[in-house]
Amino acid sequence: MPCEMITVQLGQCGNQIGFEFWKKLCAEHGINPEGVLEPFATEGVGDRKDVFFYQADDNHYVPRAVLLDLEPRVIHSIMSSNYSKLYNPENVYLSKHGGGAGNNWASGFSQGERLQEEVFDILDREAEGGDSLQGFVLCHSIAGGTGSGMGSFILEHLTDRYPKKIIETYSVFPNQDEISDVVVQPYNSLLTLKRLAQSADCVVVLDNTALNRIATDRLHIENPSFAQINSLVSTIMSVSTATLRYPSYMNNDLVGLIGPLIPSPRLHFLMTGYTPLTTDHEDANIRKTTVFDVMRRLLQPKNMMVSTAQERSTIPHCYLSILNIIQGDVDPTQVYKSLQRIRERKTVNFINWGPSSIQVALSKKSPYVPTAHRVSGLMLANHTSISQLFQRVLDQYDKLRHREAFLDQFRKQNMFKDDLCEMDDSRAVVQNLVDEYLEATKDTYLQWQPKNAVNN
Amino acid sequence: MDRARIPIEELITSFKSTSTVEDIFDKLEIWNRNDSQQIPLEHSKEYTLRKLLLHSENPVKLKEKVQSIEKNKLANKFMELIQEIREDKKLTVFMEKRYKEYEKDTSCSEVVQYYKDEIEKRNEFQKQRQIKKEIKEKKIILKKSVSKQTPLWKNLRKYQALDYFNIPITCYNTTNPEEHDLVGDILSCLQGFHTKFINPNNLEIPLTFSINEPIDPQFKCIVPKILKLVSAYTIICRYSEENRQSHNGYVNQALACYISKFIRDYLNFIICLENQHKSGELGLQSLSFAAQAHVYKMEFVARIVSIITQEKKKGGQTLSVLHEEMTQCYIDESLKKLLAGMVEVSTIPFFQSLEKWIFKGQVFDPCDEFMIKCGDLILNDDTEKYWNRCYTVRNEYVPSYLEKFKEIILRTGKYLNALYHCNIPNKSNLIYTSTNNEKLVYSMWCSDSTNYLKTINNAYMFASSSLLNVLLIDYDLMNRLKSIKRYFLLEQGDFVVHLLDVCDEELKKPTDDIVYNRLESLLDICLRVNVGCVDQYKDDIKMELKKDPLSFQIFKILAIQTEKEKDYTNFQPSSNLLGIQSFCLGLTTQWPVSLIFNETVISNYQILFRLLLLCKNVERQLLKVWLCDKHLKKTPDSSAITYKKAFNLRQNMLLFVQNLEYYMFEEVIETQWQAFTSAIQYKVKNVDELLDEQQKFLNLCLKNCMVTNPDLMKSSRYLLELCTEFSDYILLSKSHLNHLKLDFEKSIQILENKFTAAMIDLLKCIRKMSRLDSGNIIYNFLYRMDFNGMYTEQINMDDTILYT
Repeated sequence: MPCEMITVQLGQCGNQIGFEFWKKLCAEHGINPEGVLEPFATEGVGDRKDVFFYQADDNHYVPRAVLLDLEPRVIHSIMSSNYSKLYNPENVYLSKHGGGAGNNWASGFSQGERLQEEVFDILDREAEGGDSLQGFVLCHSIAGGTGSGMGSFILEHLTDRYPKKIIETYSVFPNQDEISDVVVQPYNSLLTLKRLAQSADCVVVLDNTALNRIATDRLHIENPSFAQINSLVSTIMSVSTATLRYPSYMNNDLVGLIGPLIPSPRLHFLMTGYTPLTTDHEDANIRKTTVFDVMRRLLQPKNMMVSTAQERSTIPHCYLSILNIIQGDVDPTQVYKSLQRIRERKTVNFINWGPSSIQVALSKKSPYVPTAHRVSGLMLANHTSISQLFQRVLDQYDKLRHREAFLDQFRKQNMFKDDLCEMDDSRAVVQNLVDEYLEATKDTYLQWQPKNAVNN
Repeated sequence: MDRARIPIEELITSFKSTSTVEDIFDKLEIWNRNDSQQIPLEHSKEYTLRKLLLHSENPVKLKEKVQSIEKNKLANKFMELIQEIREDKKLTVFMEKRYKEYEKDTSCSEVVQYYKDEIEKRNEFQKQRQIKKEIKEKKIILKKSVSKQTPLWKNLRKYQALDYFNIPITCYNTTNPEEHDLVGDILSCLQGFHTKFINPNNLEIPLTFSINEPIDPQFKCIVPKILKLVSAYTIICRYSEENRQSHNGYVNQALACYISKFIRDYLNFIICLENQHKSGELGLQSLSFAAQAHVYKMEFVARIVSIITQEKKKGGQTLSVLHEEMTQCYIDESLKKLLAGMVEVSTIPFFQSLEKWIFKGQVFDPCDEFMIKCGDLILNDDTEKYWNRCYTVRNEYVPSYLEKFKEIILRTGKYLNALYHCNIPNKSNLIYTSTNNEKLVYSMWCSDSTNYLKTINNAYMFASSSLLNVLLIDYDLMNRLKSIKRYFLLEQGDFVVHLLDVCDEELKKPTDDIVYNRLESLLDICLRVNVGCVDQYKDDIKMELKKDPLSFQIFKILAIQTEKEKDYTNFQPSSNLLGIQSFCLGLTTQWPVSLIFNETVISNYQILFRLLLLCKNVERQLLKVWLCDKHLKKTPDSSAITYKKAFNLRQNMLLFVQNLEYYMFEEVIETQWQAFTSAIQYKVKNVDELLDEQQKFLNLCLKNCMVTNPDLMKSSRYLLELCTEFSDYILLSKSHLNHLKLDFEKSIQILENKFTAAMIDLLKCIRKMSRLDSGNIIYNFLYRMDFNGMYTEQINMDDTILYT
């Protein structure tokens, strides 16, 4: 079957969001924690379970997931949960070393290099198992050691090994509002960003800053837990794949879904927004939602899962593309009317060097997961203001680099033994990315050329 | 033997023969034996003839006679009989004796001659009328005409009603008739006899009479008044006789039957008068009075009857005539009653046919007079044709009071008939049986409470809901429609993705090079493997490879105004299409589902399928380009202006295709589909309405998918072609990567210019259209395409040039 996707979960964060994601998928497809179809789901509702699952000989469903980590904590907690029987144990890989990457990108990267044979054995086997693999989904954070370092290594090599497959990542960006205990976070982020820019085909940016803000401001949770944040993330992940899993007229393959969102291959960083947001204890307070409400709210920056300061910026940031995945009881004419009203208000800035519009995908919803709201929507947007996030990484990097702080940990690794040109190189790549995003706000974008073209 | 004994005994006594019955039997047996001896016919014929001629008094005449009857099969037997008679001396003597007696009886041979002439004349007249009628009848070829199976009774007994068969009465004194004689004469005349003083001028209707001169002038002015009754009588009488059999239809026969009763009453009345006359109590004056009392009734009937005969009305037409009379007859109660009787009786056979039709769906029309006609069509031929043409209303035979309901009546039977052909277990349930044994009864006024109307409506409700329910429930129509939508309208998106993936290589080939079976099995795999849905009707889906391009199929199906037709024919008569252009789905269905998915309907769905598949394929090609482009992000080249232009053009094209798809899928098809299905659920009451709704759905889809407008069709197709050209160019140049940079730049620029121009063209065209027709949903597409105002300036700029 077409459109199969393999999920690769890396590091502490990657495995945590991955765990939440699979929990969500199981619930939506009516699969119990042991991989067996629930009695109420045996009829089938036209859903495509085979995009993310395959069936074992005894017909129970197995996720196409590969769980990788360099330290055992998270994976152990997954394997001791009631979902432990869901995963293929052969796909769960824990480094024998077990010491983790010590929040060091270079450590993660070099461990990835060392373990590559074992890791790619698993990935290759999984890839061969599918009839027509569409791509890989990588879940990781860019700040830590394993997700960023080992993730970077795997990204680079996946692209080489599977040049025709799409590599999509769900990348968690660190929270800027709190002081991280990972002091080398700016280095890690920069080095990972280079790989995301060059090796990934589509990066869905999950900004912990924004996620935490949304949890406190919108959901009124004072100290949001990881689980609560991860539940938001899993919602985004599951809705963004809804059109693949519940096929309808359009957007039934990954390339069709993300292709039009990414007009220029480098500008492939997407931000997301979801509405209406609810938590388990807040169901009593439900407002009436219409398609227009949903589409209007999706355009509000406060609902975006990426923290950017659009209002304060002097640069006229704009959308390159928007895809709204609307779920629920939707009449196409309402969609059209909403688009009309949004356009009349002229609140949405688009690029002016090419046509662009709010694309809408109407998607079915899982019948097994009751929702309080009639209509809900996810926005996948390619917005130039995402460059602020990268700029922030650059600024922090520059600060650290200027002081030559914490570089010792990196110099221990082979890659940085002789020089730090990998860092300089990465900085140039990310700077180019920022520049290109900024140029995209101008109507001269098509004539623009980077000043300092970087060689790989 | 015993059965033969009695007639033989009778013969013996009447011929005063001396032979006994046994003698005759012996003789008959000898004859039989001779017959079986099989003497060669020719020989015996010649032989007997020669023998006869020997003894004949007038051999020449005999020979002539023999020759004239030679062709007759019985000629031999006849000659044998004569020979036999001649040989039997006793019989010859006897016959000679009888002949002499007979000659004495008929003293006046001239009279006989006159009779003969008269009969001849009358025969001639009848014959001519018969010929005329036969010509007419031949035109209407009757399948089971009764008149052809049984000889016309009327031809055998022509003068039953004494319709002025002219028997001259010689023994009366022709001069100055007494009143008594005259009255007697008139009374005879009133019964259809020729009389001394009054004679019909001709035999054509209406009869006029001439009155012999010698009548006293004072009577002469009374007599014609009475003779009106005679005219009316003859008209009625002839109608009654001509329609005594069913060759003019059962309705006329029934009416004739009723009228013959009426004639009987009339004759009773004449008999009363005759009695009075015999007892000398009837004067001409009182006869005139009595006649006056009757004449208006007779003339009334005669008028109606002559309308029917002259205009050759039958079946429903006759009923219409009677109904019209009914509605116009207010004054006289007795006339009303009479007319009501006529209508009532003559309606019976018609309503019997009608009952059969609306209760059982059968056409019972042996006399070719029913309002519903059954064509010679077989179910398997072409269901659409069968459905529309097999049963039709014959407008000329619809009684005027059923005019408004003819459509309902047609449908009622049609539905029942359709049900009969369905494969359902309990067919006896399919016959309409009313709760209180309803029968159709005529009534003059037509309101909701009118009996026949109520029954017709009930039967209609039964038939329409039965067939609709059979289709919707037994044949699970909604799910079948959903299946059609899934595959023909590409709702099952993953199926299309899979199909295009699997059949990629095959569909790239020219149609002629495609291995049909391979492609077919690939389609089969796609249908089967698709786990996304459990569609129980996917086996009905089959593959078709169309020879004609899509534009031609559109042109063939849609009725487009002639001036625009040439735009379609000019499109592209390319003979050999690529697989992707000719690939199409088909559908195999059985009755009665085939009724809903008839050829035209499927053809409509196919047009949509081909158009949508084309878009999907273009999208797929462009996404292939996207997949190629993604590799460029690592190379510094990717920032080069040329590449950016190519990326941007790809993005524009992708947006166009996806917008077009979204517009067609969600805004056109899905929206119309909602309307269509809710119509089925809440509005549709019968199959024809269902068909209409489906056609409406399809028409709106075709119209709004820009299929039926040649300008829009042309522009959008051209844009899609440009997309294909672009993706082919990129994908090809990528495979041998070191293309000349300049060439690449130039080609992209040309394509971009073409694309933008064509896009502006299309958008302008849509704008113009939506100006004319503000409710047009096509405007949505423009809105979507120009969402960030990229094209606004260009569209408007050209407009100002156009409009100022």
